[in-house]
Amino acid sequence: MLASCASDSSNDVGLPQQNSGVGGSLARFTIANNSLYIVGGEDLHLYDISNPSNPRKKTKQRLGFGIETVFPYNDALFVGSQNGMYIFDISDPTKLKQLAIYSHITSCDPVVVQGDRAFVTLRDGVDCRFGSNLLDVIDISDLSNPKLLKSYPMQNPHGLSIDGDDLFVCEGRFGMKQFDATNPDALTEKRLFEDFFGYDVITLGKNLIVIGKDGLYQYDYSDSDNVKFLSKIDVN
Amino acid sequence: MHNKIILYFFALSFLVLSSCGPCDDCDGINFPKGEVEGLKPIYGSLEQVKAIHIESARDLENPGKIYVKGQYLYINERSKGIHIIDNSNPTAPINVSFINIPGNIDMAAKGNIIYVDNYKDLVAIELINPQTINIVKRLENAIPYNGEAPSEGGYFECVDQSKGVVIGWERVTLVSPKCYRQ
Repeated sequence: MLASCASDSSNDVGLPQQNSGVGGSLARFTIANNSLYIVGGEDLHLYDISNPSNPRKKTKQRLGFGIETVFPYNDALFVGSQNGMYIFDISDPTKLKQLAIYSHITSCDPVVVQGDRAFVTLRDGVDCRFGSNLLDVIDISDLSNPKLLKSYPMQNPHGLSIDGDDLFVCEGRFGMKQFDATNPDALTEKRLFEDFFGYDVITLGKNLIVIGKDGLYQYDYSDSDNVKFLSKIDVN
Repeated sequence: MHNKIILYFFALSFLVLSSCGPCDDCDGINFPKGEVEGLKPIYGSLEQVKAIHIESARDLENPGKIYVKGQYLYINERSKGIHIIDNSNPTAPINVSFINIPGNIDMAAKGNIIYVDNYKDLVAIELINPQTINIVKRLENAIPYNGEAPSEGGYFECVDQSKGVVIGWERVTLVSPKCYRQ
Protein backbone atom coordinates (compact mmCIF):
# COMPACT_ATOMS: atom_id res chain seq x y z
CA MET A 1 0.00 0.00 0.00
CA LEU A 2 1.37 3.31 -0.81
CA ALA A 3 -0.91 6.30 -0.93
CA SER A 4 0.85 7.60 2.13
CA CYS A 5 4.13 6.24 3.44
CA ALA A 6 2.06 5.60 6.50
CA SER A 7 3.90 2.92 8.38
CA ASP A 8 6.89 2.86 6.10
CA SER A 9 9.50 5.39 6.90
CA SER A 10 11.82 4.63 4.02
CA ASN A 11 12.64 7.37 1.58
CA ASP A 12 11.10 5.48 -1.27
CA VAL A 13 7.97 6.93 -2.72
CA GLY A 14 6.01 3.91 -3.86
CA LEU A 15 7.07 0.32 -4.06
CA PRO A 16 8.92 -0.58 -7.26
CA GLN A 17 6.52 -3.31 -8.27
CA GLN A 18 3.55 -1.02 -8.00
CA ASN A 19 5.22 1.99 -9.49
CA SER A 20 2.62 4.54 -8.55
CA GLY A 21 3.00 7.65 -6.48
CA VAL A 22 1.43 9.33 -3.50
CA GLY A 23 -1.43 11.80 -3.29
CA GLY A 24 -2.74 13.89 -0.45
CA SER A 25 -5.71 13.24 1.82
CA LEU A 26 -7.94 15.47 -0.32
CA ALA A 27 -7.43 13.37 -3.44
CA ARG A 28 -10.40 12.23 -5.53
CA PHE A 29 -8.17 9.92 -7.56
CA THR A 30 -6.08 7.13 -6.16
CA ILE A 31 -4.26 4.06 -7.42
CA ALA A 32 -4.11 0.79 -5.55
CA ASN A 33 -2.54 -2.22 -7.24
CA ASN A 34 -3.85 -2.28 -10.79
CA SER A 35 -6.88 -0.14 -10.19
CA LEU A 36 -7.64 3.55 -10.44
CA TYR A 37 -10.38 4.73 -8.07
CA ILE A 38 -12.19 8.01 -8.71
CA VAL A 39 -14.75 9.62 -6.45
CA GLY A 40 -17.01 12.59 -6.88
CA GLY A 41 -20.66 13.59 -6.93
CA GLU A 42 -22.42 10.59 -5.45
CA ASP A 43 -20.20 7.89 -6.85
CA LEU A 44 -17.11 5.77 -6.57
CA HIS A 45 -15.71 4.52 -9.90
CA LEU A 46 -13.22 1.73 -10.44
CA TYR A 47 -10.96 1.47 -13.52
CA ASP A 48 -8.68 -1.41 -14.41
CA ILE A 49 -5.21 -0.08 -15.21
CA SER A 50 -3.33 -3.37 -15.51
CA ASN A 51 -2.51 -1.98 -18.92
CA PRO A 52 -1.68 1.54 -17.75
CA SER A 53 -2.20 3.23 -21.13
CA ASN A 54 -5.63 1.69 -21.48
CA PRO A 55 -7.78 2.42 -18.43
CA ARG A 56 -10.98 0.36 -18.61
CA LYS A 57 -14.08 1.06 -16.60
CA LYS A 58 -14.90 -1.86 -14.38
CA THR A 59 -17.62 -0.74 -12.06
CA LYS A 60 -19.26 2.15 -10.35
CA GLN A 61 -21.15 2.39 -7.12
CA ARG A 62 -23.53 5.06 -6.02
CA LEU A 63 -22.83 5.92 -2.42
CA GLY A 64 -24.66 9.06 -1.42
CA PHE A 65 -24.41 12.79 -1.32
CA GLY A 66 -21.12 14.66 -1.38
CA ILE A 67 -18.48 12.01 -2.06
CA GLU A 68 -15.19 13.87 -1.78
CA THR A 69 -12.01 11.99 -0.93
CA VAL A 70 -10.46 8.56 -1.26
CA PHE A 71 -7.60 6.84 0.59
CA PRO A 72 -6.35 3.29 0.10
CA TYR A 73 -4.73 1.24 2.87
CA ASN A 74 -3.73 -2.39 2.44
CA ASP A 75 -6.79 -4.13 1.00
CA ALA A 76 -9.21 -1.44 2.04
CA LEU A 77 -10.40 1.83 0.57
CA PHE A 78 -11.66 4.69 2.72
CA VAL A 79 -13.99 7.21 1.08
CA GLY A 80 -14.75 10.52 2.74
CA SER A 81 -18.10 12.15 2.12
CA GLN A 82 -20.20 14.89 3.58
CA ASN A 83 -22.21 12.41 5.61
CA GLY A 84 -19.62 9.93 6.65
CA MET A 85 -16.73 7.66 5.80
CA TYR A 86 -17.30 4.54 3.69
CA ILE A 87 -15.02 1.53 4.03
CA PHE A 88 -14.57 -0.93 1.14
CA ASP A 89 -12.74 -4.21 0.78
CA ILE A 90 -10.70 -3.94 -2.43
CA SER A 91 -8.86 -7.27 -2.27
CA ASP A 92 -10.68 -8.24 -5.47
CA PRO A 93 -9.43 -5.63 -7.97
CA THR A 94 -12.54 -5.90 -10.14
CA LYS A 95 -15.09 -5.42 -7.40
CA LEU A 96 -16.05 -2.97 -4.69
CA LYS A 97 -17.32 -4.59 -1.53
CA GLN A 98 -18.71 -2.12 0.97
CA LEU A 99 -17.96 -3.09 4.53
CA ALA A 100 -19.22 -0.21 6.61
CA ILE A 101 -20.23 3.42 6.86
CA TYR A 102 -19.07 5.55 9.73
CA SER A 103 -21.60 8.37 9.87
CA HIS A 104 -21.02 11.81 11.22
CA ILE A 105 -22.60 15.21 11.24
CA THR A 106 -22.63 16.78 7.81
CA SER A 107 -19.22 18.26 7.12
CA CYS A 108 -16.17 17.89 4.89
CA ASP A 109 -13.95 15.01 5.89
CA PRO A 110 -10.69 13.73 4.49
CA VAL A 111 -9.39 10.53 6.04
CA VAL A 112 -6.01 8.84 6.45
CA VAL A 113 -5.34 5.44 7.95
CA GLN A 114 -2.48 3.79 9.77
CA GLY A 115 -2.61 0.40 11.44
CA ASP A 116 -6.04 -0.02 12.95
CA ARG A 117 -6.80 3.63 13.35
CA ALA A 118 -8.47 6.01 10.90
CA PHE A 119 -7.99 9.74 11.36
CA VAL A 120 -10.74 11.96 9.99
CA THR A 121 -10.95 15.73 10.08
CA LEU A 122 -14.40 17.29 10.08
CA ARG A 123 -14.87 20.91 9.22
CA ASP A 124 -17.73 23.38 9.20
CA GLY A 125 -18.05 26.39 6.96
CA VAL A 126 -19.92 27.52 3.89
CA ASP A 127 -19.04 24.50 1.80
CA CYS A 128 -19.33 22.01 4.58
CA ARG A 129 -22.76 22.74 5.92
CA PHE A 130 -23.19 22.47 9.62
CA GLY A 131 -20.33 20.34 10.83
CA SER A 132 -18.09 20.90 13.80
CA ASN A 133 -14.33 21.32 13.71
CA LEU A 134 -12.89 18.06 14.90
CA LEU A 135 -10.26 15.39 14.47
CA ASP A 136 -11.89 12.00 15.00
CA VAL A 137 -9.82 8.92 15.76
CA ILE A 138 -11.68 5.78 14.76
CA ASP A 139 -10.95 2.18 15.69
CA ILE A 140 -11.01 0.13 12.49
CA SER A 141 -9.59 -3.11 13.86
CA ASP A 142 -12.87 -4.53 12.60
CA LEU A 143 -13.38 -2.84 9.23
CA SER A 144 -17.06 -3.74 9.21
CA ASN A 145 -17.57 -2.04 12.51
CA PRO A 146 -15.73 1.27 12.79
CA LYS A 147 -16.00 2.87 16.22
CA LEU A 148 -15.23 6.37 17.33
CA LEU A 149 -12.52 6.34 19.96
CA LYS A 150 -11.93 9.99 20.51
CA SER A 151 -12.76 13.41 19.08
CA TYR A 152 -10.26 16.21 19.42
CA PRO A 153 -11.44 19.80 18.96
CA MET A 154 -9.75 21.61 16.11
CA GLN A 155 -9.98 25.09 14.66
CA ASN A 156 -10.22 24.87 10.87
CA PRO A 157 -9.07 21.35 9.97
CA HIS A 158 -8.33 20.42 6.38
CA GLY A 159 -6.07 17.69 4.98
CA LEU A 160 -3.81 15.49 7.07
CA SER A 161 -1.09 12.87 6.92
CA ILE A 162 0.38 10.32 9.29
CA ASP A 163 3.74 8.56 9.29
CA GLY A 164 4.59 6.40 12.27
CA ASP A 165 4.33 8.51 15.39
CA ASP A 166 3.99 11.79 13.52
CA LEU A 167 0.56 13.11 12.61
CA PHE A 168 0.27 16.40 10.77
CA VAL A 169 -3.12 18.11 10.44
CA CYS A 170 -3.62 21.23 8.37
CA GLU A 171 -5.64 23.84 10.22
CA GLY A 172 -6.51 26.13 7.32
CA ARG A 173 -6.07 29.75 8.34
CA PHE A 174 -4.49 28.61 11.60
CA GLY A 175 -1.63 26.81 9.87
CA MET A 176 -0.75 23.20 10.67
CA LYS A 177 -0.50 21.15 13.84
CA GLN A 178 2.03 18.43 14.52
CA PHE A 179 0.86 15.71 16.92
CA ASP A 180 2.71 12.93 18.68
CA ALA A 181 0.68 9.88 17.67
CA THR A 182 2.64 7.27 19.62
CA ASN A 183 -0.67 6.60 21.31
CA PRO A 184 -3.37 7.55 18.77
CA ASP A 185 -6.00 7.41 21.47
CA ALA A 186 -4.17 10.12 23.39
CA LEU A 187 -2.68 12.48 20.83
CA THR A 188 -0.55 15.28 22.15
CA GLU A 189 0.10 18.45 20.23
CA LYS A 190 3.79 18.95 19.63
CA ARG A 191 4.01 22.05 17.52
CA LEU A 192 1.92 24.62 15.71
CA PHE A 193 3.18 25.94 12.38
CA GLU A 194 1.53 29.32 11.99
CA ASP A 195 3.09 30.91 8.95
CA PHE A 196 0.74 29.65 6.28
CA PHE A 197 -2.84 28.70 5.42
CA GLY A 198 -2.59 24.90 5.38
CA TYR A 199 -4.82 22.97 2.95
CA ASP A 200 -3.17 19.59 2.77
CA VAL A 201 0.01 17.84 3.77
CA ILE A 202 1.81 14.77 2.46
CA THR A 203 4.46 12.91 4.45
CA LEU A 204 7.06 11.14 2.34
CA GLY A 205 9.13 9.25 4.88
CA LYS A 206 11.64 11.96 5.71
CA ASN A 207 10.26 15.12 4.20
CA LEU A 208 6.77 16.47 4.08
CA ILE A 209 5.06 18.87 1.74
CA VAL A 210 2.36 21.31 2.84
CA ILE A 211 0.09 22.84 0.24
CA GLY A 212 -0.71 26.33 1.42
CA LYS A 213 -2.52 29.25 -0.10
CA ASP A 214 0.61 31.28 -0.57
CA GLY A 215 3.02 28.51 -1.38
CA LEU A 216 4.19 24.95 -1.15
CA TYR A 217 6.34 24.37 1.94
CA GLN A 218 8.74 21.48 2.47
CA TYR A 219 10.02 20.36 5.85
CA ASP A 220 12.33 17.63 7.11
CA TYR A 221 10.57 15.78 9.95
CA SER A 222 13.13 13.00 10.44
CA ASP A 223 13.70 14.45 13.90
CA SER A 224 10.16 14.90 15.27
CA ASP A 225 11.35 17.27 17.93
CA ASN A 226 13.07 19.49 15.45
CA VAL A 227 11.11 19.71 12.22
CA LYS A 228 13.21 21.80 9.85
CA PHE A 229 12.11 24.09 7.06
CA LEU A 230 13.65 23.14 3.71
CA SER A 231 12.12 25.28 0.98
CA LYS A 232 9.09 27.12 -0.30
CA ILE A 233 7.68 27.32 -3.80
CA ASP A 234 5.93 30.68 -3.97
CA VAL A 235 2.44 31.28 -5.18
CA ASN A 236 1.80 34.57 -6.93
CA MET B 1 -18.88 42.08 -23.68
CA HIS B 2 -21.57 43.19 -21.27
CA ASN B 3 -19.86 45.45 -18.75
CA LYS B 4 -21.35 43.53 -15.88
CA ILE B 5 -19.81 40.24 -16.89
CA ILE B 6 -17.33 38.96 -14.41
CA LEU B 7 -15.66 35.76 -15.37
CA TYR B 8 -15.06 33.35 -12.54
CA PHE B 9 -13.09 30.28 -13.45
CA PHE B 10 -14.46 27.94 -10.87
CA ALA B 11 -13.03 24.54 -10.43
CA LEU B 12 -15.19 21.54 -9.86
CA SER B 13 -13.11 21.45 -6.79
CA PHE B 14 -12.80 19.06 -3.92
CA LEU B 15 -15.18 21.36 -2.01
CA VAL B 16 -18.58 19.91 -2.56
CA LEU B 17 -20.91 22.58 -3.83
CA SER B 18 -23.95 22.28 -1.63
CA SER B 19 -26.54 23.76 -3.87
CA CYS B 20 -30.20 23.30 -4.54
CA GLY B 21 -32.35 22.91 -7.52
CA PRO B 22 -34.00 21.11 -8.77
CA CYS B 23 -34.06 20.85 -5.03
CA ASP B 24 -32.64 18.10 -2.83
CA ASP B 25 -32.37 20.25 0.19
CA CYS B 26 -33.90 23.63 -0.22
CA ASP B 27 -35.81 23.89 3.02
CA GLY B 28 -36.20 27.46 3.89
CA ILE B 29 -34.82 28.78 0.60
CA ASN B 30 -37.16 31.27 -0.93
CA PHE B 31 -37.14 31.14 -4.73
CA PRO B 32 -38.47 34.48 -5.91
CA LYS B 33 -40.68 34.83 -8.94
CA GLY B 34 -39.37 37.63 -11.08
CA GLU B 35 -36.00 39.32 -11.24
CA VAL B 36 -33.10 38.77 -8.86
CA GLU B 37 -29.32 39.22 -9.09
CA GLY B 38 -27.43 36.03 -9.55
CA LEU B 39 -24.98 34.01 -11.60
CA LYS B 40 -25.41 32.45 -14.99
CA PRO B 41 -23.19 29.74 -16.42
CA ILE B 42 -20.85 30.44 -19.31
CA TYR B 43 -20.59 27.42 -21.57
CA GLY B 44 -17.59 26.37 -23.61
CA SER B 45 -17.45 23.96 -26.47
CA LEU B 46 -15.92 20.57 -25.93
CA GLU B 47 -13.30 21.30 -28.60
CA GLN B 48 -12.19 24.37 -26.67
CA VAL B 49 -11.85 22.49 -23.47
CA LYS B 50 -10.32 19.22 -24.64
CA ALA B 51 -7.00 20.62 -25.87
CA ILE B 52 -4.13 19.37 -23.69
CA HIS B 53 -0.53 20.36 -24.31
CA ILE B 54 2.75 20.87 -22.53
CA GLU B 55 4.18 24.33 -22.00
CA SER B 56 7.11 25.97 -20.32
CA ALA B 57 7.00 26.40 -16.56
CA ARG B 58 4.67 29.01 -15.13
CA ASP B 59 4.21 30.38 -11.64
CA LEU B 60 1.84 28.80 -9.18
CA GLU B 61 -1.24 30.96 -8.69
CA ASN B 62 -3.98 28.80 -7.25
CA PRO B 63 -2.51 25.43 -6.27
CA GLY B 64 -4.81 22.52 -5.60
CA LYS B 65 -4.04 18.82 -5.29
CA ILE B 66 -0.55 17.50 -5.22
CA TYR B 67 0.87 14.14 -6.26
CA VAL B 68 4.39 12.91 -5.65
CA LYS B 69 6.13 10.36 -7.84
CA GLY B 70 9.82 9.68 -7.71
CA GLN B 71 11.74 12.92 -7.97
CA TYR B 72 8.77 14.86 -9.34
CA LEU B 73 5.94 16.79 -7.72
CA TYR B 74 2.80 17.21 -9.79
CA ILE B 75 0.92 20.24 -8.53
CA ASN B 76 -2.52 21.06 -9.82
CA GLU B 77 -3.22 24.63 -10.86
CA ARG B 78 -6.96 24.72 -10.19
CA SER B 79 -8.92 24.17 -13.37
CA LYS B 80 -5.88 24.94 -15.53
CA GLY B 81 -3.41 22.04 -15.46
CA ILE B 82 -0.42 20.54 -13.71
CA HIS B 83 2.93 22.05 -12.74
CA ILE B 84 5.82 19.60 -12.97
CA ILE B 85 8.42 20.31 -10.29
CA ASP B 86 11.75 18.53 -10.10
CA ASN B 87 12.20 17.92 -6.40
CA SER B 88 15.44 15.91 -6.53
CA ASN B 89 16.77 18.45 -4.08
CA PRO B 90 13.92 19.40 -1.70
CA THR B 91 15.85 22.43 -0.50
CA ALA B 92 15.78 23.80 -4.04
CA PRO B 93 12.81 22.50 -6.06
CA ILE B 94 12.80 23.46 -9.74
CA ASN B 95 9.65 24.36 -11.63
CA VAL B 96 10.25 22.52 -14.90
CA SER B 97 7.13 22.67 -17.06
CA PHE B 98 3.36 22.89 -17.16
CA ILE B 99 0.78 20.55 -18.67
CA ASN B 100 -2.10 22.73 -19.80
CA ILE B 101 -5.33 20.81 -19.03
CA PRO B 102 -8.55 22.85 -18.95
CA GLY B 103 -10.80 21.95 -16.03
CA ASN B 104 -8.16 19.85 -14.26
CA ILE B 105 -8.45 19.21 -10.53
CA ASP B 106 -6.96 15.80 -9.73
CA MET B 107 -4.33 13.35 -10.87
CA ALA B 108 -2.70 10.01 -10.09
CA ALA B 109 0.18 8.29 -11.83
CA LYS B 110 1.41 4.81 -12.51
CA GLY B 111 4.61 4.10 -14.37
CA ASN B 112 4.93 6.97 -16.81
CA ILE B 113 1.19 7.38 -17.25
CA ILE B 114 -0.56 10.19 -15.45
CA TYR B 115 -4.36 10.07 -15.16
CA VAL B 116 -6.07 13.46 -15.08
CA ASP B 117 -9.52 14.95 -15.27
CA ASN B 118 -10.09 17.29 -18.17
CA TYR B 119 -13.52 18.57 -17.11
CA LYS B 120 -15.72 15.49 -17.36
CA ASP B 121 -13.24 13.35 -19.28
CA LEU B 122 -10.65 11.02 -17.81
CA VAL B 123 -7.44 11.26 -19.81
CA ALA B 124 -4.35 9.03 -19.64
CA ILE B 125 -1.21 10.99 -20.56
CA GLU B 126 2.13 9.38 -21.23
CA LEU B 127 4.78 11.55 -19.65
CA ILE B 128 7.85 10.72 -21.72
CA ASN B 129 9.85 13.45 -20.02
CA PRO B 130 8.89 16.81 -18.49
CA GLN B 131 8.90 18.41 -21.93
CA THR B 132 7.17 15.67 -23.90
CA ILE B 133 3.72 14.18 -23.48
CA ASN B 134 1.55 11.88 -25.51
CA ILE B 135 -2.22 11.61 -24.97
CA VAL B 136 -2.83 7.87 -24.97
CA LYS B 137 -6.45 7.51 -23.94
CA ARG B 138 -9.54 9.61 -23.33
CA LEU B 139 -12.66 8.31 -21.60
CA GLU B 140 -15.46 10.80 -22.11
CA ASN B 141 -17.84 11.69 -19.30
CA ALA B 142 -15.95 9.43 -16.94
CA ILE B 143 -15.54 11.92 -14.13
CA PRO B 144 -18.38 11.85 -11.58
CA TYR B 145 -20.67 14.83 -11.85
CA ASN B 146 -20.38 17.06 -8.83
CA GLY B 147 -23.52 19.11 -9.19
CA GLU B 148 -22.28 22.19 -10.95
CA ALA B 149 -22.72 25.42 -9.11
CA PRO B 150 -20.70 28.58 -8.67
CA SER B 151 -18.36 28.78 -5.68
CA GLU B 152 -19.99 32.04 -4.67
CA GLY B 153 -23.30 31.67 -2.88
CA GLY B 154 -26.64 32.90 -4.04
CA TYR B 155 -29.14 32.29 -6.79
CA PHE B 156 -27.95 30.91 -10.08
CA GLU B 157 -29.33 29.63 -13.32
CA CYS B 158 -29.29 25.84 -13.14
CA VAL B 159 -26.67 24.22 -15.35
CA ASP B 160 -27.96 22.67 -18.56
CA GLN B 161 -25.36 20.12 -19.57
CA SER B 162 -26.73 19.92 -23.10
CA LYS B 163 -25.35 23.42 -23.64
CA GLY B 164 -21.73 22.39 -23.13
CA VAL B 165 -19.16 22.51 -20.36
CA VAL B 166 -19.33 25.25 -17.73
CA ILE B 167 -16.14 27.30 -18.00
CA GLY B 168 -17.14 30.27 -15.89
CA TRP B 169 -19.95 32.33 -14.42
CA GLU B 170 -21.31 35.81 -15.10
CA ARG B 171 -23.31 38.07 -12.83
CA VAL B 172 -26.66 38.92 -14.41
CA THR B 173 -30.25 39.62 -13.53
CA LEU B 174 -31.99 36.28 -13.35
CA VAL B 175 -35.70 35.71 -13.79
CA SER B 176 -37.28 33.19 -11.40
CA PRO B 177 -34.10 31.18 -10.77
CA LYS B 178 -34.50 27.57 -9.71
CA CYS B 179 -31.06 27.01 -8.24
CA TYR B 180 -29.40 28.31 -5.11
CA ARG B 181 -26.11 27.75 -3.38
CA GLN B 182 -25.71 28.33 0.35
